[in-house]
Amino acid sequence: MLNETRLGNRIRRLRTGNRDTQARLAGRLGISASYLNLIENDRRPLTPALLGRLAEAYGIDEQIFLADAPARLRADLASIVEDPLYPGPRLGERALTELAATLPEAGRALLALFRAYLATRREAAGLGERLAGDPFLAEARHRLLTRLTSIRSYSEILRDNIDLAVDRRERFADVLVDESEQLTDLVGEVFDFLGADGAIGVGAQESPNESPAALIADLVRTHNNHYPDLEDAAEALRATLAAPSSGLYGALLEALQRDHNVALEAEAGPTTEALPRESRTFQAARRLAMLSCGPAIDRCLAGSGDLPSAASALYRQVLGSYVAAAVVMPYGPFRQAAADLRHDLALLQHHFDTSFEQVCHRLTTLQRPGAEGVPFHFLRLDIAGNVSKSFSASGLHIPRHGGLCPRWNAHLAFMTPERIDIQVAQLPDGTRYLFVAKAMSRAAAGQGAPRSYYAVAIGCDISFAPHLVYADNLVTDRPAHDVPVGLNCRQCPRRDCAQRAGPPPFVVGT
Amino acid sequence: MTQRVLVVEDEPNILDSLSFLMKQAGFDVRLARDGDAALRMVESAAPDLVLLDIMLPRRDGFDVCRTIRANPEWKDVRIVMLTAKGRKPDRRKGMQLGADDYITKPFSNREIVERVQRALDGGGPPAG
Repeated sequence: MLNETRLGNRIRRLRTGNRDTQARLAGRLGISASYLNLIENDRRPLTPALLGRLAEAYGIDEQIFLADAPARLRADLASIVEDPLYPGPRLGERALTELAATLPEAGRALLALFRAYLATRREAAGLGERLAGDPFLAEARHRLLTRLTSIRSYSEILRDNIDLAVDRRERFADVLVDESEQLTDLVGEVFDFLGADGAIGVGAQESPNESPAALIADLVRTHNNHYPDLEDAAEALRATLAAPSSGLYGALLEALQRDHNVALEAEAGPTTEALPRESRTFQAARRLAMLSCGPAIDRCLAGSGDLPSAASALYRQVLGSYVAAAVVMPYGPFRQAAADLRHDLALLQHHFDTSFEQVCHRLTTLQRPGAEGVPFHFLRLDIAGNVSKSFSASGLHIPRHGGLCPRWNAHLAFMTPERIDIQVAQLPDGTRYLFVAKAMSRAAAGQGAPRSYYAVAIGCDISFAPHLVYADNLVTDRPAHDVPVGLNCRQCPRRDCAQRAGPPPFVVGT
Repeated sequence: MTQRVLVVEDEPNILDSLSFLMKQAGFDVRLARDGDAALRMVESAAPDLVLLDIMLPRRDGFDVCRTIRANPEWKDVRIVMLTAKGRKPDRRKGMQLGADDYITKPFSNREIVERVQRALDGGGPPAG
C-alpha cells in the first residue's frame, strides 16, 4: 500500500510550510537532496522508515499520511460519483485519479461534503418519521389522553352533581389533583425526550461524519475537561525543570536540550520569533510535553476507543496542550493563586507569565474532585461570531449550532478591544450568570499580514460572583437590572427583544 | 327491566368514573379490567352492552369485540368502543369488527351516556 502512495505534493507543502529547504530536510532524513526531490515529484516511494523520520522531524502524526492514501481516496471518490444521489458533473477515471493524487485535500473535502449531505438528508427524512412513529411518543400520547380523559370526566362529574356526598366529592377531587400531577410529570418527560438528549439529539449522535473537532470537543466534555493522569505527568515534568532563573521559558529550553537534544531556538524560524514571549513559552512547554509525557498522553488516547486518524491526531495535540498548560500553570499553585487574586485574570496572566486565553482556559480545568475551582464556562469566538472553542462547567448550555445570543457580552467586547467587559446576564429560565469577556487581535509576522480578531469569555453562575474581582462594582443582587439574554435566537422565547435575528422558536405539535 | 352494562377499562380512575356515570344513568353495572375478564363477564353476566376500551392487558379490545361477534349467542350484545382520540384506523377497524359505536377519549360525560343509550335503543352511531 505504502509503495503506491504518491505523497510528493504533500511532503513538499509540509516542508515549505515549515520554511525548510530540500537540502536541510534531506539532511535530517538522512538522504540526499536529489533523492528527496525525486520523492517530492512522486518518482520514488516514501518508505515506512522515511515516513517515520519525516513525521518526527515535523512533529506530526504519521497516521495523517497513512489514513487516506490516494489509492483509497480515489476509491472513495469513485463511490461518490457513482452514487445515484450525486448530482454531477460526471468525473471520469482520469479526473478522479488526478484529483486524489494532486489535490487530496480537495478530494477529502468533496468526500466530507458529500457524506455530510447524505447524513443531513437521512436526518431530515428520518426526523419527521421518527417523531410520528416513535414508540415513546406514541405511548406518551396515549398516556396523556388517558390522564386528560380522567380529568375531564371527573371535572364534569363534580360540575354536574352538586349534591354529591362529601366523602365522594373529596375522593373525586383527589383523583383530579393526582391526575394533574401525573400530567405534569408526563409533560416533563416529553420535553426531555424532545430536547438535547432525545429524538433530535439521537440524530446528531448517530451521524458518523462529525468533524474531528466536534468529536474531540465531545471527548473533552466527557472528561469534564479534567485529566488527572495528565495533571500528574505535568507535575512530575515540572519538578524536573531547573529553578527558572531565566524564567520558565529558559527552563523549558534547557530541559528540551538536556532531555531530548532539541535546540528549539535554533529550529525557530522568523514566524516563531515574532510570537509574544508567553506564546513561545507555551509552544516550548507543549513540545516538551509531547516528548516527555508521551506515555501518559498515549494512555489517554487509548482510553478513548477507536478514533478516526484525523481526530486522533487532533486529540493528541489537545492533550499535549493540556499538559503544557498544566506545566505552565501547575494545578495547586494556580488554583490557590486564582482564589487569592479573586480570579483577576490580568494578575494571573502576569503571575504565570501566560496569555489571557490560556488563563481562562486553565480555569475551566480546575475540576479535581475535592479541590475544584469555581465552575466556569469558556468560549472563544471570532469577530463573525463563530465559536472555535467552548466548554461549560457553569451550567450554561453553550449551543453548538445556530449561533449565539447577540446580547452576550463576548460580542460586545469587540467594541472595546483589549478591555475587559463585564455583564450580569439572565437567561429566559431565570438562571443568572456573570460573564467576563475580552476581545483581542493578533497578526502573523510581517508587514501587511492580516490581523485576526477574536474574543475570549468566561463566566460562572451568579452565586460565585463574590469570588470574582469583576463583581465588585456591579449590581448583582437585583435581577431586574440583568441583561436579558438567551442561548441563540432560534431557541429564545424573548419575543420583545430588539436584537432578535429571527422569529421565535416554532411550536412543536399540531 | 334494568339494562346491564359491562365496563371494560384498565385505567382504575377512568373505570371508576365510567362506573359512576353508568350507575347514575340507571344501568346495572359490571366491571372488568382486562380482555380475558371481559369475556368471562360476557359469559356469566350477559350484559346488554359492553363499553370496551381498546388498549387492554392480555387481550385487546379488538380481540374481545371479534370474539363476541363470532358467537351467535351474543349477537344481541351491543358494543361501544373507547379509544384515544384521533386514531382513525382504530375506528374503521372497530366498526368493521362489528362494534355499534365508537367513542374517543377524552369524552364528555353527557356524550358517553347518550351514545350508550342510543346503542341500546338500537340506533347506530349518530350521523356525521
